Amino acid sequence: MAWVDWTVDKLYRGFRFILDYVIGYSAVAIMLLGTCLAVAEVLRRYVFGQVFDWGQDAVTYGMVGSIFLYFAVTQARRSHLRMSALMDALENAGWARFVMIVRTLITAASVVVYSGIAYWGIPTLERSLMLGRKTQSMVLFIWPFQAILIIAFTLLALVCLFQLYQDIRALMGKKVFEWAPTEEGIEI
Amino acid sequence: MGVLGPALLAALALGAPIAMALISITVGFIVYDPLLSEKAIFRSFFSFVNKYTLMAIPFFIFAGFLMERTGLIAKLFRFADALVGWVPGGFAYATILAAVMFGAISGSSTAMAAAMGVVAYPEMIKRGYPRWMAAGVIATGGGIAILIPPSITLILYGVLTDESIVKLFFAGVVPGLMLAISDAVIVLTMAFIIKLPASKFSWTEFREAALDALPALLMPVFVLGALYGGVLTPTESGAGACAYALIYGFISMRAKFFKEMLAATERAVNLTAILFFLLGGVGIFQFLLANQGWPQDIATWVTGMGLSPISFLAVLLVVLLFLSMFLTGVAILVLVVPIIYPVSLTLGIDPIHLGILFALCIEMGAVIPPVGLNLFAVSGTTGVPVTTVMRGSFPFLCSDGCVLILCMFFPILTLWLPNQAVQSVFG
Repeated sequence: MAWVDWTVDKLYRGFRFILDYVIGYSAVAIMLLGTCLAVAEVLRRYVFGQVFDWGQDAVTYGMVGSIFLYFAVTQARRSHLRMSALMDALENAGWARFVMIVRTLITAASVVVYSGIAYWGIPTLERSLMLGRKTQSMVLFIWPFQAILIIAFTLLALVCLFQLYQDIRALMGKKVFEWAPTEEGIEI
Repeated sequence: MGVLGPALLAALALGAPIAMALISITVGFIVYDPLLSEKAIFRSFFSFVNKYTLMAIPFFIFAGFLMERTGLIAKLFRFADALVGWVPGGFAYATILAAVMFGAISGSSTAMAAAMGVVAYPEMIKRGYPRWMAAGVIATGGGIAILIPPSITLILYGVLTDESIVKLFFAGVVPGLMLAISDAVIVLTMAFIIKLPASKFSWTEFREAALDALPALLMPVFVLGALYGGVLTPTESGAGACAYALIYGFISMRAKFFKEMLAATERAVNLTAILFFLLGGVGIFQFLLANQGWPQDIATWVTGMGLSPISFLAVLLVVLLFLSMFLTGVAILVLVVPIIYPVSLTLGIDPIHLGILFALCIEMGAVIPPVGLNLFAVSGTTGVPVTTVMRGSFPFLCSDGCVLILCMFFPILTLWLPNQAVQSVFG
C-alpha cells in the first residue's frame, strides 16, 4: 500500500497547490477587483450621474464566481460550519473509532452528493447556452457563471474524494496527508 | 416531515457540514419523488446566492478585517479609556464602549472578541482586574457587534426574509445600546463589590486619543450615515466602507498595508465562502420546504394550539437559546428562520422585531457553552481557561437576558427607531 499512499499524496499535493495558490489567490484578486468596481460604480453614480449597465451584474456574478471556486478551498481545510458537540463528546468518551466511521461515511456521502449536483447542473448549463440566457442587465451571459458553479462542485467532490482516502486510511490505522491542515478556526 | 425532520437532525448531530446536511436531505427527497426534477437542486443553489443585496456581506466583512489590520482596535480602546477610564471600573466600560464603536465598523462578533482579547486583556490585568472579569467583559462585549449595524447577522436575516436591511439596521441600534448599558450596570455593581481601580482623567490624553481614533470614528458617520440618509443602498454602503478602509489603511500604514490587505482579503473570501455555501444549502432546502409545506403545517399547528404571539415568542426564544448550545449563530439563523418566519407572520409578529430577537439570542449564544464561539476566541487569545471565561460572562449573560425579555415584551424598543427614521427619510 505504501506506493499507493505515495502516489495519492503526490496527487493531492499537486491538487492542493492548484486550490490554495491558483484558485485561492485568483479568488482573492477577483474579490479585490469586484470591490474596486463596486466603489467605482458608486462614485460614477453619485458624482457623474451614470453607471455601466453591466456594473451590478459584474460585481455580483464576478464575486460570487470567485466565492464558488473558494468552496473547495474551505472544504479542503474542513472549515465548513458543522455541529460538532455530540461527536466531540463521543470522542472524549472513548468512542473515537465510531466517530471516525461516521466521519468517513459523511465524507463518502459528500463525494456522491457534490458529484450529483455537478452532474445535474449540466442540463441547466446546456439550456442557458442554447437559449443565450443573460443576467438581469441583459448584457452578460449567465452560462459562464453556471459553468463555474459546476466546476466548483466538481472540485468539492474531488477534495472530498481525497479526504475519503485520508479517512479510510485513518480507519486502517495509517495517517496520510499529515502536511494538510485538517481544520481552521471559524470567525463569524 | 415525519421522516425528513429526524433525518436532518440526525445528519446535523452526526457532524455533517450543515450545508451538506441540508443538501443531502433535499437530494434524497427529490430523488425519491418522481414528480420532482434533480435539476432544481442546481438551479435553487445558483439563484439563491446570486443577489446583489448579498454582496453587502463580503463588503462589510472585508471592511471590518481591513480596519482590524490597521491596528484600529487599540486606537479605539485608547480613546474609550481616555473618555471613561477615570470612573471606577473604567477600563471595563472602555472595553464595552470600544466594542460598540468597533461594532459600527465590523459586523463580526468573534473576530472582535478575539482582537479585544489581545488588546484589552493584558491592560486590564495590569490594572488589577480579576482574570475572570476581564475575560468575561471581553467575551460578552464582542457580542454587541451582532446588534450594532452593520451586522452580518441582520443582513443575513434580511436576505432570508426579504425584509429591509436598512430597517433592521435601525432596529438594532436601541437594543444594542441597551446591551451596552446593561453590561455597564453589571460593571458598576462589580466595581463597588470588588473595588475596581480607576485612572485619572487627562484632557491632553483625551484630545490626543480622540485625534488618533478620529478616522475610525468617522467611518460609521460617513458610511452608515449615507445608508441611513437613504443615499446609499446596503451593498453600496458596504463598498463605501471597503473604500474608506483601503484609503485609511494606505494612508496610515503606507507600503506595509499591502501585505495586510492581502491577508485580510483572504480571510474575507474564506469566511464569505463558508457563509455562501451555507446559504446555497438553505436555497436548496427552501425548495424542499416549499414542496412539503412545512411552514404552513407548523403555522396551522401553532395557531391550532391557541398560542398568543408573546407565548410563541417566549417558546421560540427558549428554543433558540437551547439551540445555541449546539449550533453557531449563523447556523441557527439559516436553519430556523425559513421555517419560523411564515409562522410568525401568521401570528401577526412584526418581522423586524423578530429579526432583532433572533440577533439578541445569537448574541447571548456567543457566550453559552459548549459551542459559544466568543468563549473560545477569548480563551484562545488570553490563555484564560474556558471555564473562567464562562464564569466571568455569566453576570453579563443574565443582564443580556433581561434586555432580551424587555425587547420581547415591548416591541416598541426595536420598532420605534426604524419607524421614525425610515418613514422620515423614505416617506
